[in-house]
Formats: sequence, structure tokens, C-alpha cells
Amino acid sequence: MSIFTVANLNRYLAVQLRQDKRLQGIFVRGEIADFHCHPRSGHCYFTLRDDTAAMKAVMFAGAAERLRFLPANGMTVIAAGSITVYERDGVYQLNVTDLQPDGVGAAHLALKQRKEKLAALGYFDEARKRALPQFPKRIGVVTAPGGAALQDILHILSRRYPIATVQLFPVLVQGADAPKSISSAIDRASDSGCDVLIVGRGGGSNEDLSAFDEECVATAIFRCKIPVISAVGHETDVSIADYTADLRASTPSAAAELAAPEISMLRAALSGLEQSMHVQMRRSIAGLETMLSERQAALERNSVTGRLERMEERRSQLTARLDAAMSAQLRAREQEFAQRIAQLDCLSPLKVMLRGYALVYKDDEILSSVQNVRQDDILKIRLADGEITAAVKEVRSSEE
Amino acid sequence: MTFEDGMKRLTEIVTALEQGELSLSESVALYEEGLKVSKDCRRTLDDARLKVVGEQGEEIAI
Repeated sequence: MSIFTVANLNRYLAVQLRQDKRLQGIFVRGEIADFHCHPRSGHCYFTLRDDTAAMKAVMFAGAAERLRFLPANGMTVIAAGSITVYERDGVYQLNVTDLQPDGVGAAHLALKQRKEKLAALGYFDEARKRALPQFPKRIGVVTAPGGAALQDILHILSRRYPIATVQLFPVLVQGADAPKSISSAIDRASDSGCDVLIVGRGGGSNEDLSAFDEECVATAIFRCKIPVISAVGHETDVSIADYTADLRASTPSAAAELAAPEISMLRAALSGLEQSMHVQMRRSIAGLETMLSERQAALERNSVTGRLERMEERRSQLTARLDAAMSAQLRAREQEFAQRIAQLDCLSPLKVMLRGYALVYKDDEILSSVQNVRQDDILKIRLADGEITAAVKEVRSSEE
Repeated sequence: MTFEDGMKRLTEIVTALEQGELSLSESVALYEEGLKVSKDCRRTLDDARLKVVGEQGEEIAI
């Protein structure tokens, strides 16, 4: 009886399987599970399974790089490769050289059909998507308790918007009970009085997010009375929950940033209002001061002192006019008087007499004719500077 | 008063002052109220700490 060493036995098996042509270059259909890649080597390791059995598979970096899609847990695929033995651990595996999604894989088809059905019901319509409240008071969060997603959300909200309250609705995010857990949490959140709801995964990029593709979850989001932000999908993976939500965020942190404004915005708004108030108050007071000045001025104009001053002004104006008028009148009269005097002077008999004319009296009556004069009559002749008493020598009339 | 209510009241006060139909004593009264409201709002912002509650409304320490 031979006693093998483990190494020899594993070596023997490896050779046997390698030599079996029926195990080389084969195609295997199965569902992917536990898919993970080594970050440094780029080699990918997963399990291929169906309803009753499973086997290990590996896809080395070179082949994995050529993939045109991202393999994910739950995906049904057709793998091309060969059976090899990993001698160190004594396991056989399918060394996958190429991977194709199985077009008629049940899960895939179901998902595709579900998307079409829900789209037809209007679940994904842009028109039904609601705007988020600007200043939410209470933010609901549906996610795995203690998960990284929750930590990220709380961290962001605590920094950005600490005046809000966060209400937690813990759920299972993976496993058979997850869809029901998530949908009922969303239903409860809908009636909870929150202003907005964040639905996030648990944490980590290796999770199975198929629960968020379930119809009951989509329906809960569709019926939710408050706006829903979903932060479920990974980079290229968009779940049905993401499509149905009012807003989609790429990460839980992004969801938190969308849900609430930055507190500095609130400070700025507050400062703005304070400024407006100060400005308005100053304006009102300035307006009132102007009104006051105007009233004071009007008051002064109409006061007794004012009136007296005005009357005094008028009085002195009139007095001046009076004086002027009087002076003018006097001058006029003086002139007239002087004129009359001059005229009088001209007509004065004395002036005439100075020119040599004399007044002749007979018996105290002025003679203007020679008719009544006889020789030897006594006549009085008045000249400018005296009188002459004369006797008539001869009388001769101009007519003779 | 919550921050939102405070902001709403402050906006009302500013609008009333802007419209300018008030007497001096009304304006001063509103202004004083505005100063108080804005001080309260600012304190709310400065003192805020995120509150986390469970489904029953009970507080949870983060």
C-alpha cells in the first residue's frame, strides 16, 4: 500500500485534471457570489453557483482587465475557462479566461422586466420628482445601524447643519429580509414628520445591493410623502431605488450635503437681514428728521415774531416810499412856486418902472389918457424910486 | 422660537420697516424686537449640536 504525501496527491490530481481534455476550454453557467479582486495583483476571485452546488473560480489580472462589464454578486454569467488545481490548498477551481453576462439569466431578466414595469407606472418620471426643503428641521436616515454610510452622514450633518435633528430608521441592507426591512422603514419614515429622507446602503463597496432593486422598496419610495434622497448605488451601479428617488447621490456623504444647507449660508442670510433692518431704521429716522426740520421751518415762518418782522419790513418799505413821494411832491411844488414868482416878477409894475415907465396920478387916480388934463393941473408922477409933484405946461394928443 | 420662525419674523420686520408706513414709536419697537430675534437666531446657530433620535423620538448619543 502506498502512502501519499499531501503534496504528491495534490500534484497527481492537478496533472490528472489538466490532462482531461473535457475539463479544458469549457463553458460554465452560474451565478457570481463573493466577488472580490486583490487591489495590488488585480486577480479576481469569486464563487460560481447554481441552485444546488457551487465552485471556486479565479480570473487573473490579464483576463480581468479585458472585461467589458463589471461583474457583480448575483449576476448570472457564462464563464469560459479551464479547471485547474491550486495545489497548495488542495482546491480545484475554474480558471476563467472570459466572462459574459448571461442574457437569459433569471435574475437579470427579472430585473430588466421590473425596470420596464416600474418605468411604465411612472416611477422614474422626472416630473414627479420633488424639490428638497431648503431648511429641513428633521432629516430621516434609512440605513444599516453602525454602518459606514451612517457614520459619514452624521459626520457631514454635524459639521454642516447642526441645528437639524436626525431620526434613524435602522434596517437590514443585505439578505432575504432586507427588502421588507427597508420598505417598511421607508413607510414609517414617510409618516414620521421628517422633512426629507436619506436612504443609504450599509457601507463598503463589496455589498450586495440587490435589496434596493426590489419592487417593494421602489414602491415605498414612490409612495413616500416626503422627498427621498437615495445614496445606494456604487460608481457605475444604479439601483431601482436610485431611479425612483427624488434625488440621487453618489455617496452617503454627498446625500448629506444635498439634504442640508451649510450653516454659513444661514449665518449669511441672518447677517443680510440684520443689515437690511439697520439700513431701514436709519432711513426711517432720516426721513422723520427731515419732516421735523420742515415743520420747524414752517413753524418759524408763521410765528408771531415772524409776522411782526414781516410787518415791520413792510412798514419801513411804505415809510420810505412815503418819504420819497413827499420829497418829490415838495420839489415839484417848489419849482412851480419859483416859476410863478418869476412870472410875477416879470409882470411887477416895479420892474416895469425900472425900465423907465412911470405911473401918473391926477387927484389920486392913475391917468391913462391926456383927455382930462388941462394946463396948470397938478400931477403926481411916481417913479421906481420916488414921487414927483409936477405942473402941466402943455397937453398934446397923438391924434392932432 | 426655532431658527426658521426667527428668520421669518425678522423678514416680516424688515418688510414692515421698508414700507415706511409706521410711526416712530412703532418703528423703534419693531427694531428692538428685530435686534432681539436676530440675537436669538445667532445664538441658536452658534450653540447648535446635531441631535440624533430613534424611531420613538428617544435621543441617541452619536
